[in-house]
Amino acid sequence: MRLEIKNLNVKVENKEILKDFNLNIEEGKIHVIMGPNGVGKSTLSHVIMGDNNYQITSGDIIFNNQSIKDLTTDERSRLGIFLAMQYPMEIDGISNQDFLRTAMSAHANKYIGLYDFILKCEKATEELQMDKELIHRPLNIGFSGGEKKKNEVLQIKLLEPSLIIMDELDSGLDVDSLKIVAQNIKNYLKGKKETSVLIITHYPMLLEILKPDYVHILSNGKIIKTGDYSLAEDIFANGYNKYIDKDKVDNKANIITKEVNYE
Amino acid sequence: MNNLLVVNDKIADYRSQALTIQNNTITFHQSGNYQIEYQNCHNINLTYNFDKDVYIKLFEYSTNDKLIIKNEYNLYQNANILLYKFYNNQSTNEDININLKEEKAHINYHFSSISIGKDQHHIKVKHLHKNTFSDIYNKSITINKGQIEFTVDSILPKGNQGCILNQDTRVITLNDNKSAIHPNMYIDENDVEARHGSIIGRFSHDEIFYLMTRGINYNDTIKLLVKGYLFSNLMLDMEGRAKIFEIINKYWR
Repeated sequence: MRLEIKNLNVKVENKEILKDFNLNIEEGKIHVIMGPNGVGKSTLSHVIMGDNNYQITSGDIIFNNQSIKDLTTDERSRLGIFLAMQYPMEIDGISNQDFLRTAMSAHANKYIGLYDFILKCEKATEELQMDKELIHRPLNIGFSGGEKKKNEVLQIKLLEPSLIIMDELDSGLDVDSLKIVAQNIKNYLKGKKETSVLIITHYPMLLEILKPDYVHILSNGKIIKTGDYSLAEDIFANGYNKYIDKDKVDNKANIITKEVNYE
Repeated sequence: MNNLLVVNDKIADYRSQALTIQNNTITFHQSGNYQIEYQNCHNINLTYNFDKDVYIKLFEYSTNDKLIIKNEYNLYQNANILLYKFYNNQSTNEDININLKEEKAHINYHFSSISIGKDQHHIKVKHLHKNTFSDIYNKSITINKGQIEFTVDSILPKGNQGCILNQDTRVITLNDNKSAIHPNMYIDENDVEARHGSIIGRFSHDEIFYLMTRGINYNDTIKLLVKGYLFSNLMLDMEGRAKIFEIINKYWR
């Protein structure tokens, strides 16, 4: 098993976001998490990555048979987990090249020389149809939405993770850029069949190209339904209502049952 | 790059037709790039004059013990000065007077420091003529026993129309000491463009998290952010950058 999330409960500022959350992702499988805004999708991605703004109150996260709950964010990254962010940070004064080389050196546990970096980076930027000047610019400063997302995928290609989490990687991308990004990820996965993927998205195109194995609907802090790609197609056509409403009814039923038992 | 030295509070001899040095006064007659390093200094009192129409890029660099500085910068007609300064002194007490004496004089002042002791900076910019321009940017970091206080006074008397006054001061605190910024704009004229901003804080959680998600450990993340923060204010050549890298590497190995 690549990633196992067991009975995970997560709080942010005393508000419970994930409740008894369970998810298993096997090697080489593509999972999708869908759900309306505010149900905890981004929380999940940040918790897996070890963001200390989120407090795990119980449960465990196991990656490659090792609990990572107590590891720092950088340690999780170096184990092979990558989070492609919805809003990549803009940091003035740090050149993209300096950032990428520092990250590559951290992963390789040795200093990556300029020649090795250029060799690897040039090929990747060509495949992503990125302007080569972006490598020399301050990190994500003045990048368009599409350029930022391509820069995230560039990092995937350079750092070669074995678990890729994409938090709305497809938002803010025009159709052409989205196709390039999706095709690059598809090609990456072809070359690294053991790599697992967790996609958080609201849109169909990325999924049409990557063809996920499992689709989950997240509501009220837990997965309420799992299916195959047809579940995503149904959501794109008809929305979440029939699944979410049912979830609400179920919760209400539980509350009523408890009240009855109490009396 | 032309390298000037100030040793034991005195400007070292430097022969060039582009500038004149006399009694701790440097007058720039021609455009050019200069670096001035303060070595073994304790009490510096310098005057910089920038003649009409010169474009000077000047980098001041100081890593001294306890340093008192009283420097004056006089800009004449259409003088355009890009001034970069980096300090890492044990402590600093600095009084800077910038006089924009004639029309279209423009000071672009970029100061950065890694503060490790008690540092006080008082920067006074006087717009003494109409159509003069000042851009004052300070970006400092406090570490160890560092604490820093900025007072920035932009002064515009009545009648000097068409001036642009801009000041922006930021302090990142990497310790628990108090720092302060006093941004003052004394403006007695309606026809003016003025902006100011002041921030004291820490590096953002989101920036730290983003860099660490790429496998960069906390210490290297802070080092990257420090580099980014300082170099976003100091557009230096390789020689200047190397000097500051050396200081950064001293504190963040």
